Amino acid sequence: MALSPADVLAGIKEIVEEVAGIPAASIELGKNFTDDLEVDSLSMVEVVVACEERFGVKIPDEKVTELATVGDAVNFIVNAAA
Amino acid sequence: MSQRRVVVTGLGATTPLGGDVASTWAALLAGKSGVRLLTEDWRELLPVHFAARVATEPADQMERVELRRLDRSEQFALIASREAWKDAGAPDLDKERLGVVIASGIGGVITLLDQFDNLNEKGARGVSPHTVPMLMPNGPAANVGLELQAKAGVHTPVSACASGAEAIGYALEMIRNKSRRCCR
Repeated sequence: MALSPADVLAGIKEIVEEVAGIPAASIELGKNFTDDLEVDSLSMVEVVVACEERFGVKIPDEKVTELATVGDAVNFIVNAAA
Repeated sequence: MSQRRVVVTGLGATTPLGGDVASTWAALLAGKSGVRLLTEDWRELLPVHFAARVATEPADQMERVELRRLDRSEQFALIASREAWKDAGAPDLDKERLGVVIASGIGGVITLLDQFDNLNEKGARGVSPHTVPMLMPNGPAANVGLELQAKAGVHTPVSACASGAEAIGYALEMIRNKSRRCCR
């Protein structure tokens, strides 16, 4: 199922706010999960699993470390779902 | 041999009688009971339909994100310890001299059950990465120790229904025996 970047971004915002308590309004494509949003490693695992469930994609562990920014995650999920 | 005197400088509580020390004490003096009939559907699974549940749910006293990372036992520990710390005047002291002793009879049993359900229903990836810090019996003491930045020792006696009394005794001995830096 094809997903639009806007839909994926909106979903990630909801997930990160739910998991880490970070206001959705402050979550932007260029923000780094660790440095800018201060999502810790355990919460990042929760974010990844929630994204897999929500978007119906598989995010391999070795790929997770490459998803530094919100934009990286949006691109990966859009491509994986295509 | 003279014994070092130990005093209590702050109190905190969340109990079936009240969500803090004042309400708990007032209910005690009024002779009220904290035992109530259970109203949840799951009570039908049990032969007994009454229990002494807490008077105030942690959700009424903590932020949502904090709640989801803490087992219920840890939520209670933080609520009571925050009240006790505030009651003691939130002293600005050397963290190297601050210790924590909080007992737990079982630890995060609700977390263990929930995550076992997740494992069965969703597989290993469905198990929360917070499972171990939430289910370990020393989780309540660990979270309080982290919050207060206690560096002189964080301990958890586990001895069934005597656990709480043993924790108080352990803390007493820590101070009395000067066996930790916190006891100077």
